[in-house]
Amino acid sequence: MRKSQIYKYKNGFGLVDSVLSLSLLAGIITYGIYFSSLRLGTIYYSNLIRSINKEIERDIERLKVEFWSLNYDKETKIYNIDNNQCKDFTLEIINLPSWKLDESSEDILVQSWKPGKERSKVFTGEAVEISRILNMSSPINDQNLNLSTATLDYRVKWGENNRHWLSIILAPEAHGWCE
Amino acid sequence: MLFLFKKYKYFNNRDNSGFAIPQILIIGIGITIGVSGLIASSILSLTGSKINKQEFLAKSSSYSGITKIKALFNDNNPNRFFNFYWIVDNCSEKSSNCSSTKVPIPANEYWSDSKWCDGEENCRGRQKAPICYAMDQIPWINEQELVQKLFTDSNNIGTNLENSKREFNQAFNLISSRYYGTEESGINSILIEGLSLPTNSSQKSSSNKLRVNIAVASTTNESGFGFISVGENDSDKENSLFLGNLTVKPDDKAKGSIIWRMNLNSNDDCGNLKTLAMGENATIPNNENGGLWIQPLSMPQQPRLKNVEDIGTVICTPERIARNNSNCILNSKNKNEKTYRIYSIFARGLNSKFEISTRDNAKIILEIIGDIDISNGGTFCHRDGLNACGTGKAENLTILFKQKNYPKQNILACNRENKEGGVKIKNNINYIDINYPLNNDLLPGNSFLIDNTGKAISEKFAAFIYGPQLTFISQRPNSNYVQVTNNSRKNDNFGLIVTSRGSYGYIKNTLGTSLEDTFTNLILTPDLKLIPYGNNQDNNLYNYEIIGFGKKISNLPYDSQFSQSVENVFLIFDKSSSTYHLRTFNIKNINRSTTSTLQRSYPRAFAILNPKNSQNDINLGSDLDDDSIAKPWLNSFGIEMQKIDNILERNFEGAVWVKNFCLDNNGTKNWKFSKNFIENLVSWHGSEFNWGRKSYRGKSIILWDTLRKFN
Repeated sequence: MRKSQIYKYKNGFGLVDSVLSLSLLAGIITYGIYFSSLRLGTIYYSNLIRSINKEIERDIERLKVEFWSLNYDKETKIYNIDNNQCKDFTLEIINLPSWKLDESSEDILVQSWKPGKERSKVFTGEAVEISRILNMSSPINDQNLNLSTATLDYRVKWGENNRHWLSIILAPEAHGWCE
Repeated sequence: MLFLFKKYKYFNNRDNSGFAIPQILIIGIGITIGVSGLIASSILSLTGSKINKQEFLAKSSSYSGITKIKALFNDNNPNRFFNFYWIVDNCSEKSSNCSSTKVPIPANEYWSDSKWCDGEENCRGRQKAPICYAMDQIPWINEQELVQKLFTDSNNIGTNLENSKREFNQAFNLISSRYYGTEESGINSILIEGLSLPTNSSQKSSSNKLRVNIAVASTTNESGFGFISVGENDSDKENSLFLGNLTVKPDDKAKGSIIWRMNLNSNDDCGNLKTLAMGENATIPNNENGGLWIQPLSMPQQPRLKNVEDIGTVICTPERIARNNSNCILNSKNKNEKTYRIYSIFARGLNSKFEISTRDNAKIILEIIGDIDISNGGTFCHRDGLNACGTGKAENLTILFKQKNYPKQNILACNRENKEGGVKIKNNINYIDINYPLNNDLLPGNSFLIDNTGKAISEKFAAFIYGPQLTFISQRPNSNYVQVTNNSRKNDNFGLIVTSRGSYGYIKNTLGTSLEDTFTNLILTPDLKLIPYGNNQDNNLYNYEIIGFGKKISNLPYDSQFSQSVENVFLIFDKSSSTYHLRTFNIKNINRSTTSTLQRSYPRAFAILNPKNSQNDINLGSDLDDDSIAKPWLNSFGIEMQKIDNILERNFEGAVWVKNFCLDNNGTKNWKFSKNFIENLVSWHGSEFNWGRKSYRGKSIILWDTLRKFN
């Protein structure tokens, strides 16, 4: 009678059955939790990449529009630019409305911002810092040419990460109208 | 077996006892499948994000490449010629469109142009870019090398940031660029590949292949405007220009270019450009403000004509000016724009004057079929309304030349054999075996001689001259004597020496009304060659200037062997001995005496000088005022000569676009033009008349096409 009570209870599970099944259940739950958290991490990273890309893309598009309209006279519909400006566009670029994002920035050529959750939920807590660094140069390595191309290097920092995300070269449309 | 038996028992267990493991297993499998599915989808999402990022990098790379090439080719630096790379085809070794890697020197590329080549052998067309560059300019070979690097190397983008980890490098490869269009505008189609390259691998992780079409347009700025353009076709070469001592005002600060339409094979042929232009004594804008630009640019078509009125040949001797309704005084007849078609204008000799009045709202075009001769005391008076001579604005008067013959044999060119300048006739083949009527293509082209722009320093000749086949001459004669033509009707000699087709000719009767009277006739040497005006060529057998036309009105002095039967003579100045001669001649008709001949401004006859001998030539000595020798003979032939003041200053304003521009080194010659002139000229004739040295710029992107493959 005792033996049958240990190994098998007539109206329920037996002890061995219970132990095994509980262990199995615990394993499955652990696996589920582990992989769920892994999945969340993957999704977070995936969303982070996508959101940073979009944030940078938005920034680039904004700058592209302002690069295009630099020195453009809407009334006469021509680009008004003098030769001194043509030689170096740095000053014009750093004075663009979209360029200056960080009033406290020590170096005007480096602008950083922390996008908030209104841009993407993944940015909640403003844990991600994006910086763009301006490097003006001539189209090729030649000192006699105008400093007309702006290389923008985007750096992204979050947690322990510090990544050189992307680089792009932009140029003011007005440069094509220099005489 | 035991297990199966137990399992059988379990499955058949119909009492209240149970076993949880199978259920847990089933739940476990379910959870595993579910979680794995979710994991897989999130990994997929992550992979997608990473791929998207790489695509983003590749797209940014290709965009950067386009930006870079656009910025390079649009660079305006005056010492650089990168902008000409917009209009040539460049190929990298990756291009399947090209047989070989090729980044040319644009100056070695040509626009196909049969009119420019004019049947010349080995003519490749017009050079797309100038081959000459100033001292401070970068040689073509350097520019080629720099552009070549862009097409051969993989071009990295971005600078490495300190303390930042970079997973991917970015680069672009330029595959090819191809230009479709004309000299004025077109499209440059660029093939480019943007790359994303993992930093830890040499394999590319993403690429973005693009075809980008960029609209290319040419512009001419103020300093590029051609206030002087010379050269008609490839065979002209350097013979089309003699600058002499021309001064472009206001000196070095003036902006504008002298466009010398000529192909050169290499920079070695350029040398000192002013020396090449025979203008060591000239003052022209410096290179930054234009200067001398050697490139055979295509010229705009002639301006459109309105309200055309044909007034025939205009001879403006004093008596003809005094006639009622003389065509020597013109205005726009209350029209905003008026065109006069004129076969030729001759205002040559003392008190001869052609007068024209224009205003901003009364512009005039003179459509000239033949020649203009304003010389030897004659003047071209251009007034602004009723104001004084010389006040007329260049932008209100256009002189358009429409030559009717296509010279194939005897070609007018500038005399560059010495410092004297003036014109010469290339080849100058004699007219021995000629048919009647003459093939007029054997004659040189038409000319515009102006050696005087007014007595007062403030007076000027102001106009826009458009004559792609014309020879513009401003040269003072060597002889100081000029013939007085029907000034007071002292005699019946109404003949007039003129300059036609850059050569000496004459009109038989300036007061006559018949066709025969007003035809121009050309004068030939005894060996049947034309005599170019001024006749400054070296090694010249017949070193003559023809300065007078004589018609016998009384008996000749007795003591000579000179032919008594002669009716007409020419007064010749022999430059080699500085003596004056009367010379007989024979007439040979070469064109029919018809209106058609006159309308085309073709010569009616050749007057062939007889050989120099005692029957045909009388030496009058070096002083035509000498009563003992010269005067009696001149009186017998009704020739009245007068010494002329040497007007040393010639002032020009406006622009002249011609085949040959031949000045001399005498006196002072000033050329003035302004931005205001250019603007008004363009507003009158159209934007194509803002013509001169071009720079090219890539403007809007009109196609941005993502490709799978490049071929």
